[in-house]
Amino acid sequence: MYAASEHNADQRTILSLRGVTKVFGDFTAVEDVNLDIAENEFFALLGPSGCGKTTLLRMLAGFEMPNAGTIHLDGKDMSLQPPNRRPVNMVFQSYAVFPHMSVRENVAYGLKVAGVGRSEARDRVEEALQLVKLDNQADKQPDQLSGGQRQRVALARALIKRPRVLLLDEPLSALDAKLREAMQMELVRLRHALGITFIIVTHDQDEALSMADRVAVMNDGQVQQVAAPLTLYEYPTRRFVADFIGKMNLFSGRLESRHEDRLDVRVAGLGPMTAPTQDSSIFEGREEVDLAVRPEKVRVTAEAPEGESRVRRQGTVKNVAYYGDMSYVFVTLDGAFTINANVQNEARRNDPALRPGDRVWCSWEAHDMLVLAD
Amino acid sequence: MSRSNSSLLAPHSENEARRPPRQHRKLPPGPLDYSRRWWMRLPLFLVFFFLYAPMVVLVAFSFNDSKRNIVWQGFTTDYYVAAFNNTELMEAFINSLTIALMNTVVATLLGTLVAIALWRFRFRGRAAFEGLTALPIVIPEICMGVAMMAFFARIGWPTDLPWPVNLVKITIAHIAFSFPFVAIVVRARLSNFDRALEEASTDLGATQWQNMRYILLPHLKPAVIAGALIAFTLSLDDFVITFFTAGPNTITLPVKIFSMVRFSVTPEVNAASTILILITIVTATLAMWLQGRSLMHPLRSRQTE
Repeated sequence: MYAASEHNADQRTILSLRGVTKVFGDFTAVEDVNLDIAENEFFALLGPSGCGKTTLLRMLAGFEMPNAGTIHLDGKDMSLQPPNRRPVNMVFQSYAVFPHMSVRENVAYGLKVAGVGRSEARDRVEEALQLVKLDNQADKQPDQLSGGQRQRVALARALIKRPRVLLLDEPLSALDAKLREAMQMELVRLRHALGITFIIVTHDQDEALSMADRVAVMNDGQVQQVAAPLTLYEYPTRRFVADFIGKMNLFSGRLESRHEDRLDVRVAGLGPMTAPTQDSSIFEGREEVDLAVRPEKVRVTAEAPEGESRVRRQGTVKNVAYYGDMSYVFVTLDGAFTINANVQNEARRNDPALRPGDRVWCSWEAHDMLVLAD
Repeated sequence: MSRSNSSLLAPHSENEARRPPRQHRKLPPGPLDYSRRWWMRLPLFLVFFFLYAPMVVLVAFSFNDSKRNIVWQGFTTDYYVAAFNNTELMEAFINSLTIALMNTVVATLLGTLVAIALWRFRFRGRAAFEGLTALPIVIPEICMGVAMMAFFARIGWPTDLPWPVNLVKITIAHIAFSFPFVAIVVRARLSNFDRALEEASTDLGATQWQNMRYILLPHLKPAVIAGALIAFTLSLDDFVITFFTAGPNTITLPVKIFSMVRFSVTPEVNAASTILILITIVTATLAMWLQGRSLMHPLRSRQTE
């Protein structure tokens, strides 16, 4: 499972970043980023606002030049090449559709400035418009289009250049929820149809997890973890990633002993626990470690649960937040902290199954627990 | 009306009948509700009166059938014919139009380039340059006129040049005071230019020149046209600066009208002035209309193709 963080060996690396750093004044926006992105990969840069993901994307497009490090595309160094000479195109967050040109003129623009012949240009524009399903809107002006249509114009305009890599800067953030979902499917379809590498910047984890082959989580200008969505969610290696992606119960404990594939940890109020780890050597010399367990892995029962492998603790229900399909249950474990559990509301009922003050058991499989570095 | 229809309507109309008629309370006027307070409407009326009454009188009396033009004698268009037959007046008019056109071309170009330079580039002395650019707008025109006169005398600008080269002196003076107006209008338009458009253009392979040609200038077009029309009207009806830079062979329409008025206010003067007002109003209206469009949201303003 861990191996999924490395992309398929038979896929050729198209984009290679080594020690890429960008400094604005005394603010380091991007720090020592190393990434290899494979041909035909759908890659996402995910992180909170201000984490440097957009700056990194703008360096790939050529709008910013790295202060240190190199960016290689197809083996050629293009770190300092201007944007108009890179085989890379971008879909802007605001779409940046030229307001004084019709849809057709917008799409044809990249060919016009490159001096592509009239008949070839006409065919390629037609093809690009069909690709994004705008062929019947070709003569409209941008102010007659909806947000989703404008985005399709921006897509077609970038794709007509047949880029090696397509960059998308928060492409879905300006769309409403319904349209966003449709556009997500559309982007995945386009990527498969075209065989182009897509790199998308987003702050929306659902977007990144559902669309991308691999996700790089960024914080404070640094890449925290690069992995396939499933690995990222189930096996985060760092505290920031565990906390940022989805919901997580985090508790710190004292490292008692270290084995090759597991750690013995004593958590205040909970007693001794054993958590699995792939590589225990990174915890060498550590006294404190963070343990984590996802809320949906925690089961809440009235009776003490069966099963040798389950970690179980008794507690009192503190609060229940009802969401229809499921409820968030907050249970204060005896002599310890409050833990969050997701309870699926599988059967219809007339009154809540759990109320504040109820005595319950919380339990989870020991192997569902995570140990996190820093 | 059919039976079923009326029965359908019946409960509805009954409802209507039961509902009491909607009463609108008459609200007391707000303190600044000017349309309902005479003392707030009075200054407005006075302003419009003193602003427009003289012009209305001027235009009306251009049709007055009287040489002295003090009392209304009857309607005639004779003085328009006389004005068009007055060679000196027509020469002055042609001079004015020639200067205005030359001024418009140069001032528009210069003003647009200054605006782009101030918006696009960071350079040493940029703030000072921006301030100096706006100076001709705030400097009293009389000072500028005297300064221009002294300047041209000092450098020994030749006075016996053939037409239309002899108009260049006035044109230079006009460019100096009108190009900042163009720069201001274009600058305002630039401030709502989305830099992402330029980046998108570069990303699609365009050079800096292509960005300028295909993206920036089309965006600026309404403002450039508005600026040009402002420069045109400023030049056409300028009196003070022109008065100090004009020679005996380079009389413009406003200067000519001024000299005619010194003898007597004939309906001919009124006719010439009316024509000048007409040209100014048409161009100024066009300029304001275009500028109003240019300040709207970039996505909303469809360029005039």
